[in-house]
Amino acid sequence: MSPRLRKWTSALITILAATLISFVLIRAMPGDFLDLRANELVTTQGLPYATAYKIASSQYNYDPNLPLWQQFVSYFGGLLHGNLGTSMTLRIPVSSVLLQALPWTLFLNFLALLLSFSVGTTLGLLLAWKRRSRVLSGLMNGFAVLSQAIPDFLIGLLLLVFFGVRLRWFPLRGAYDISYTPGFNLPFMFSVLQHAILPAMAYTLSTVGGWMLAMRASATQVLNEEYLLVAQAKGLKSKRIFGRYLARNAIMPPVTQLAIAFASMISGSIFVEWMFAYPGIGYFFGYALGNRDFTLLQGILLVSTLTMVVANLLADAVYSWIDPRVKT
Amino acid sequence: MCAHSLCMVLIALWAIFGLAACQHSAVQTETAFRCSGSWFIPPSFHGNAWSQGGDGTHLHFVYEPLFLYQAADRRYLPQLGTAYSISADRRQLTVKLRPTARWHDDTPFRSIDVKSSFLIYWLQGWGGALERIDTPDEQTVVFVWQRPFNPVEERQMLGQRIQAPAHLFSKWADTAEKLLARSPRRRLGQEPTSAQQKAFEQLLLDKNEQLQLAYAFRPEKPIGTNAYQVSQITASEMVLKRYPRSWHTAVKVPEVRILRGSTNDVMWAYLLGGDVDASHAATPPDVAEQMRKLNPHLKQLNLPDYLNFGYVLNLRQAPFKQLAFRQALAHLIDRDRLRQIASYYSLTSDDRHLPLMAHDAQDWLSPALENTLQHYPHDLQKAEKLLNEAGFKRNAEQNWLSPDGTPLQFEIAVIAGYSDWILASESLASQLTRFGIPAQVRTYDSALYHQLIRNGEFQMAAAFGLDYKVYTQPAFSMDRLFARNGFLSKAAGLPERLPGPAGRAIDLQKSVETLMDNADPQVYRPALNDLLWLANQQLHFLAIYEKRIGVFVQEGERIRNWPAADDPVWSLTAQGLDVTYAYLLSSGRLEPVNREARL
Repeated sequence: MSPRLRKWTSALITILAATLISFVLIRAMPGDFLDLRANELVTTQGLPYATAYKIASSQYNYDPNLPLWQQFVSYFGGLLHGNLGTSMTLRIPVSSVLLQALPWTLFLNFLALLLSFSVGTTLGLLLAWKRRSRVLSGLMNGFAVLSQAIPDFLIGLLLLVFFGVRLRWFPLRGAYDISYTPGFNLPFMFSVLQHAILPAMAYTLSTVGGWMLAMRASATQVLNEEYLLVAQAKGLKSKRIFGRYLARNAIMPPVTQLAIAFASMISGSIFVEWMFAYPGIGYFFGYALGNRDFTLLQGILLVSTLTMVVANLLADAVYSWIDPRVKT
Repeated sequence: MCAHSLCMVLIALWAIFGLAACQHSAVQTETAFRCSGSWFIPPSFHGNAWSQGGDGTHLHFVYEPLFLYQAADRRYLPQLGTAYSISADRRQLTVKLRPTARWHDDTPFRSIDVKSSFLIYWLQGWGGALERIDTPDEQTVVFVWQRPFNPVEERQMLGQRIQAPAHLFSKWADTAEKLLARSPRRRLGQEPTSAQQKAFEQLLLDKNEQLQLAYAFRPEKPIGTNAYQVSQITASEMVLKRYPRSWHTAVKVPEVRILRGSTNDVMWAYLLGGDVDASHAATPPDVAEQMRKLNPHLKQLNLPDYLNFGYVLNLRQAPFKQLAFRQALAHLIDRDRLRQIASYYSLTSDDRHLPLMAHDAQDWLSPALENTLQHYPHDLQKAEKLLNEAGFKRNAEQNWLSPDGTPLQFEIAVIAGYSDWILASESLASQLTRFGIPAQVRTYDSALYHQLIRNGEFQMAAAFGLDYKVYTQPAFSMDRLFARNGFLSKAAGLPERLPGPAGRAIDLQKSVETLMDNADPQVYRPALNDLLWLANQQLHFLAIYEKRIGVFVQEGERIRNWPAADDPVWSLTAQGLDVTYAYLLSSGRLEPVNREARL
């Protein structure tokens, strides 16, 4: 089997396994919402429990008496036809929820990751390069530790109070100004960018330290390599050594982490999206969990898995582009 | 290269920040009432108020009931109804409707709209003894009941939102009417035959089927009759504009903006920045003081929430099944401390643990009853004495053991995310632990929590006790506390009968029904007295504090003329704060500061 085929097969197996595991786990969650609703009906309408349970089951469009494997086969059959099912409580196709919410989350995460990765790795590289400067080292390390230690929602709140409330530079909430018509027009796009800055900064500031430390560790290791000594001995300019030899070799481990970071940001975006009332997947994830909306939850988890797998495949591709010695 | 790219990133950031700042400061122009709230975000939002996706804060500004009940002076404020009368046998309620009211799509409001709304309520389970709804003319609606309707049902007929315009909902309302005609007549005290029971269950299945069809209807925006109609919706903001043909001609504020409510700290930020005109985020006193200092336009009003907070005890389990232990617990809890930590502006409940609000407790307590009630003040020595007398002992570590030698330890169940409940429970756990009963707090998500409570799988759980929201007198609270299927009685595992004053057995369900079904104080007072006495003696619910909502209103920035805290209009909050805001706007009491923006 060729390495590329092996990689794709393993990605497919990962998706299948994640789908199956999440399907079972979601249904194993404690709290029987049908029982709760049925008991409500027993209390309010004086129904026998069995009838009340039947009504509750029809209200949620969910039959718990169907064996789990049958439920899975039906769900998986739908998936093969591109059908993610209908939300049990919202009664709309899960795909329509994802189509509307996912682009916002992806956009925000992409922007945040782009910022934190580029700033973090640049600073980390600089830190390794100037490792003998105690002042710079102390400042950067302090910043890195601080940024790692403060959670994104707290940073978000500080940004909101300072830039949104005090300085009034940025809007406090939402994805765009309600007075603009969504579409490919400049005012709308500018408004989208403007609204994304504070939530993106919340992510960025809380993760930039991590990238900085990772890049510094990687670059410090590269700095000890003999080829760097050879390059210096050959009299190459430091700018060239820094860019071509150090940066290019040191960036590889952080690139691998980038894929994982992207996927985990999607599932971890709930707090920041909630705080900034951002219309991403976080709202629906929280809603689906709280309301035990299995189909919606399943759809969101599937998307999260797909993002993780695709991001890993992309990281592999980028990795082999940066270092041609690595063949996929 | 590195320094170069860093410079580029910084310049790009600066450009984005700078341009965005210029742009943002240019957009602060509109004059509108701004409050916070929640709704289903697109694409899940729709305009059917009856089903998931249509629910939200906007409903109070878009729809209205026939009358609003102002609890403070026990007065009905006419909305879609102008007058009502009740027949002598209390089987008919006739309401005269407002002829000038219109739906937001310009369709005139008529009696069939009231009928269709209540038929949908009936499909949902309301009005089990409703016989029919007549509409003798376009401005008159008559509710006819199989038996005399009770005060709660009266309040519901007059106070529920009219939200099913007949021209949109007739399809389901007409079928509901046919089903209502099929509805079996039940005689009090007569058990149904198996055939009757079967027919009844089939009827409920048919009702549910119709209801599901009605729920599936998804208009783009809600069509109501109140002063405002939905104009735009995003995930973060909802804009409502004044409906120009509304019967609410006194409206002065042209627009309502509902901002998505978030965490308390975000709401404080909004208040600090003057971004909202009213908010009721839970606020500790130091934060409240700081906010008032930084935003001098803010006024704080502490309003009753018509609920009290406390702990329900599971009487099925030891040691809670022992009365002496419950009494000891009532003595050892420092309720005032819990109130200060969890909900500073609330009122510490009185030490008799009665399901009565402080402002009207005297109205319901007869002097004879008062003399028989026990007081349970915070008194650790008394608690210790009670435990010792009941056979509990301390071990070498000074922790308490039950009479059979089992170490006492508790778990206090709380709903995850209810920050004030969690704070109170943490404080309670540490009070108990200090006293020698190791306790810990365990949070459950809402669905799981209610299931555990209902099934009695807990020891001690945080819960709301009295509830004056539905009906502003103790009947509904007693239903929660003592009825066969009452939330708290079921959780506590109360028996059907309990010994009352002088050892007389009290049938709990019967007493609650007497209280719920009668408007005559002569009839219901004895039952109320019995139940109050039982609440005080049984202590299956320990009341901690009577909840007050700290409402911040911003006076004179965009909106002015907020009523003072003692204005009776605030008692509309029993039906929700948003109902009060909507009423203040639709009646023209609130007006914009900017004169040019006024209508």
